[in-house]
Amino acid sequence: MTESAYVEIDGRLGFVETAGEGHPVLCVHTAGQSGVQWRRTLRELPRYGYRVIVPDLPGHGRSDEAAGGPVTDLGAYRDWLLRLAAELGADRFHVVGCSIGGKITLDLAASAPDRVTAAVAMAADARNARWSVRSLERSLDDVSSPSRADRTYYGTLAAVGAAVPPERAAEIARMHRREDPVISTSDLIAWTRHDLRDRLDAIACPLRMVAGADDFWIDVPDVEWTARRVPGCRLDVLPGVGHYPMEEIDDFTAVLAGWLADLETPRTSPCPPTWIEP
Amino acid sequence: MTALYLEDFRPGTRFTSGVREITAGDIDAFTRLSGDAAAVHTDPAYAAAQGFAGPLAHGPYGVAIVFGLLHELGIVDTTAIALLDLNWRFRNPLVAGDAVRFEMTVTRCRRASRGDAGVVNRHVRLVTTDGTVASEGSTAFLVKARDPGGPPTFPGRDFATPAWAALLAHRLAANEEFRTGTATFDGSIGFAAGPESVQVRVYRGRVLETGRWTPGGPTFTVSGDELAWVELADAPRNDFIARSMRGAFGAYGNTYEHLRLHKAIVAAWDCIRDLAGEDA
Repeated sequence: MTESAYVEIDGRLGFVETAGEGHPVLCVHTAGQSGVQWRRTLRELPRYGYRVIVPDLPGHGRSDEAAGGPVTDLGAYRDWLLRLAAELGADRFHVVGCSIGGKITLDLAASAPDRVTAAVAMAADARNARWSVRSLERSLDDVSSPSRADRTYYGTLAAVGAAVPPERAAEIARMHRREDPVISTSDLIAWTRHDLRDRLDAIACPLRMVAGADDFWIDVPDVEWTARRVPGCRLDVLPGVGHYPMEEIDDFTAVLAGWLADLETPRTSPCPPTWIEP
Repeated sequence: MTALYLEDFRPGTRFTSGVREITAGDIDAFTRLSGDAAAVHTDPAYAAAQGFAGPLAHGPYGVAIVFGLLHELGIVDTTAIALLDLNWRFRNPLVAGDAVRFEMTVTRCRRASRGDAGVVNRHVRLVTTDGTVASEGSTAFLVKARDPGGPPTFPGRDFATPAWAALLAHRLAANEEFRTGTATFDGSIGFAAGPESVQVRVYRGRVLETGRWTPGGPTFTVSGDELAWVELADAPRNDFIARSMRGAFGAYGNTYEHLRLHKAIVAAWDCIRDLAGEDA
């Protein structure tokens, strides 16, 4: 059964849903979106013996705004998630995240090696150098960012992989159009600014990185660069998948459960990266 | 393979050549032939000091290999009249031991005014057998027509030309997304494919005219090279946005109007792809 709660952190309420019993799995959503992206994971992953924790980051979904307004530092989300998990009694937990959530996942693994037990970072790398902070800051003004709803809709359609049936892709795009553009853009500024390149060696937990072969938001060579710097990291490049594996892949929960089980399997020696090529 | 005439080339058609290995003897021979005996091509120690695995094959030698492999393919030996131009970019060095092939995509076909021949432009990538792009570029040639005085070939794929825009206008006029996406627009949308460009004049959802120029000029222009156009025309889905994000297409002019007309541009690409599909 799913339980929802408003957890108070620094006088602000954060919305979180939990389901299941077992080792906690924290699920972190993408820029401008909410925990609704993990709705199927929330329902299905408990069957595999996990306690699933799906928060809405500050300013997203049903959570209060962050105290200082829209967040432009992923470190603020990282710290908030560590406190939220502690409030929920999840001292040690697995984490899975996508896009900014994937980068937050990498940051959590590097920052809290005593608490993060396994990590799955999807659609993320240590540093996204392809986007311009200046251009994103300009588009915080609505007048500089016309037809935002259309652009979110068509941009999401384009970011979904070719294997997703068109009607499903359109539904994902309509869901994403629910965003607040200022929050989404601030998230992307945070994503672009956040550079984890010199902190990857602090990652001690088993890590899996996942990239969609159709994802134009990231460059696979950058993801590979990141994966190679974490001993034992597995890397999957998924054919036909775009930027949102948890929304695109039909049996994503089973796939995720397989990844988590693999990460939980003790290894006697570090493994080289493994590949699922398109 | 039998010789191909103008009518046999269609924008989007691809050819892959056989493989040729580059030898130290080839590089020596090209040094003598061209007179370019620079140390990077002739002195292994110098090449190593520059960080290369060996003396570099001359860039123009790679270009020459393209035409050698094309001859081996046997498709234009008796129909090619003249090589017209060459625009080339060198991406990665080639050294002795590398094996290369080309991937050629036809990007433009047009019957010349003389009628008995036409110009075919091609994008060519010279790639090593491990997938590295050594060099790439475009090169046009004049080729005999099988049917002198025949009709234009593949007008729905002669992108960003006046005749093409006239065909496109009918589809834009019938497209509901384009109409609603331009319902508050008064201006001209430019389309540029390589050196060709054309404008579509639109007022409140209606296409008024098309042509090389309009009195006010284009409000903005959607631009890509010829390869980008044929690749999107033949792609399994209309992923114009993804290709734009990756840099295959850009826009210049009033880019805020371009952003505002996002839906209309995606719809226009649906129409462009449908039109090109008629010539599939």
